[in-house]
Amino acid sequence: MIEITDLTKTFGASQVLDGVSLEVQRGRVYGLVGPNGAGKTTLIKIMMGFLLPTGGRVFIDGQDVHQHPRIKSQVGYVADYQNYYPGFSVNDMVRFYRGTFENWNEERFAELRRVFDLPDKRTFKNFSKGMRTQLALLLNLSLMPNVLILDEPTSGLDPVLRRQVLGMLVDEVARNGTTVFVATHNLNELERTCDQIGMIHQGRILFDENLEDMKQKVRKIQVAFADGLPPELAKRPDVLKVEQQGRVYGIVMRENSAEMLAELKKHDPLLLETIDMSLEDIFIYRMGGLGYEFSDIIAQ
Amino acid sequence: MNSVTLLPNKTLLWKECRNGWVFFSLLFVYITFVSSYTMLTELSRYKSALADGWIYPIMVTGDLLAFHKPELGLFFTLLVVVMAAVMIGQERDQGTFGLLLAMPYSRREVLYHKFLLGLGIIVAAFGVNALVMSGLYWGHPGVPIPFEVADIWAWALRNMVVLAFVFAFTVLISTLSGTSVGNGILSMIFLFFPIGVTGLIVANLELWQVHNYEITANLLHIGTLLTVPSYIIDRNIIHSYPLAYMYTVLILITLGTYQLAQYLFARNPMEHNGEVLMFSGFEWFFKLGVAVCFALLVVPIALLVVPIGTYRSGLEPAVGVIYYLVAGGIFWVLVTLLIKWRRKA
Repeated sequence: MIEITDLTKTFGASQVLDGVSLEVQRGRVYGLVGPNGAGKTTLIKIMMGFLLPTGGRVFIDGQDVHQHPRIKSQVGYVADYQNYYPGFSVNDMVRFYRGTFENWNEERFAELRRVFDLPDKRTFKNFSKGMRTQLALLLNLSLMPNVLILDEPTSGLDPVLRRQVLGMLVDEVARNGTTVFVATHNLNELERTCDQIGMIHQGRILFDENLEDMKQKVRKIQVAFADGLPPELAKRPDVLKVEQQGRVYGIVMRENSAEMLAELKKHDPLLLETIDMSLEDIFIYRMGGLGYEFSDIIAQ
Repeated sequence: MNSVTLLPNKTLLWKECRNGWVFFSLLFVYITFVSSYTMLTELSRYKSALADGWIYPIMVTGDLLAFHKPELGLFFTLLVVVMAAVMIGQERDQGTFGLLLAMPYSRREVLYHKFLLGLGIIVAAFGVNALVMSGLYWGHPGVPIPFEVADIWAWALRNMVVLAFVFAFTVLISTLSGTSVGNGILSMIFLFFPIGVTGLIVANLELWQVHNYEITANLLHIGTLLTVPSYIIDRNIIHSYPLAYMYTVLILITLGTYQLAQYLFARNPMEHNGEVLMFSGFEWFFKLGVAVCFALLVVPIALLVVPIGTYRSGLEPAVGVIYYLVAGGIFWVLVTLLIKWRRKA
């Protein structure tokens, strides 16, 4: 379990994190989304104990990470850009991890070693970004972590390997009940893997919600009428947006759409169905409601 | 840190050895080259000179064997400064502090193992070489070698104790500075600061015609005594005091310096990796040091160019003070601008 309370971080005059609080329950996958410079990596570096916070605390399984670094023997960490010792080979890094993490599992390592095709003796300085990420995943999944913290874990990986890695993460949670915290700007990946999503922008968490709840809160209804959409329905306060393509209307609704569906049925629609929205669509509306433009935050 | 955590962590120690083995080997080889190997070759030449009938074979080999030469002491100091600077600065340069501190190691443990390995290398290098040299000494019975085995061990011990301090001091500076080069340069500046600043003060006293032999001699004596690396450059400095007392003081200062390094490292926000100074709170101290030292250096030179009053017949103290303040102020501003420029870059 991860618990962050009122975390702040300033670099000189610049406030990078501003009162970040969040909680990730055991066995859940938390996705943190935000643009470059939002504070994702700083937050993760503080969570891992590398940077000291200006204020606030980070607890992993009830222990303050900065006061009790031993708790990190249960934590796997894959950085955005992995820095290992340039002169170390894969074998050297494995030796270092094996001696450091008490839960290191040889069977798991052997299993993952077959997935990641890495040269045993080549030194780390000659690794590509994708190979660095693969090595980091290999090492950090082999230590059987209770908590896995990942910063852009699939960057630099080819699409096949990316899919494989995401599958591994889901498998990790299912098999071991690992708590996963993943920071990324790739919404599609989060949609497939996360239970809970937080959005960080300019060092502040804009929202932090269960993915299913988010999906429930914003619904899209596809409807077609012979004589067009009755105007009174388009003006309902729970309607966020109406899109029209010919006689087919896409109505994006806030909260419960059952009442709206009943209303629509009364007008004898030619077509009426509720369709799932993509996470990106949900974000667009969710952030619009908070007064932010999605493109200002995500598409950078 | 309790007695249990004082026991080294094998993995962390292995990591330190593995990461720096090239440099550590070079250091070891160099110390062996200038001590054991040199002694061996000098002994051969010494024996050849004796065999050739030289009455004073010492004229062939020199007055003292190579490992007593003062410039080697200076080079040892430099090597140990570089070793400590690299051990810590390399982690910053490679970005591996991020990896290490994300592992279940405390900052105290990380620094402790670096300190332990550094001391171990110094002690091992001089210990092994003292053993080899003792063996060489005993292996040449009848050769009138101009020193005793005890001199070899005294040399090794003096180097170990002094270089342990140099190492601890560089580790301390490394907790303040964010680059390997910054670590090394700042350490050398501060290690030789006492004798350097004493020299400047004496030069300025001369300028103001304060001719007092006793004051000058005392200042230089204090300056030399506070410049610890000079103990291996000129052994007479340390030998002019009871050795047990000097070594005890040095060991206590080394441990104190190490503890201060631990204190600062635990509080280092790690935000200014890549900058010469990592603690912005200490900037005023460094600026003041630069301003004072450069004022002491530049004012005598400036007064030669633009004299106040008649040289040697009496300088105007009030104008002189203004010279110092202006020079100090200029260098304060220059350092401030330099720090800002570095930070922007």
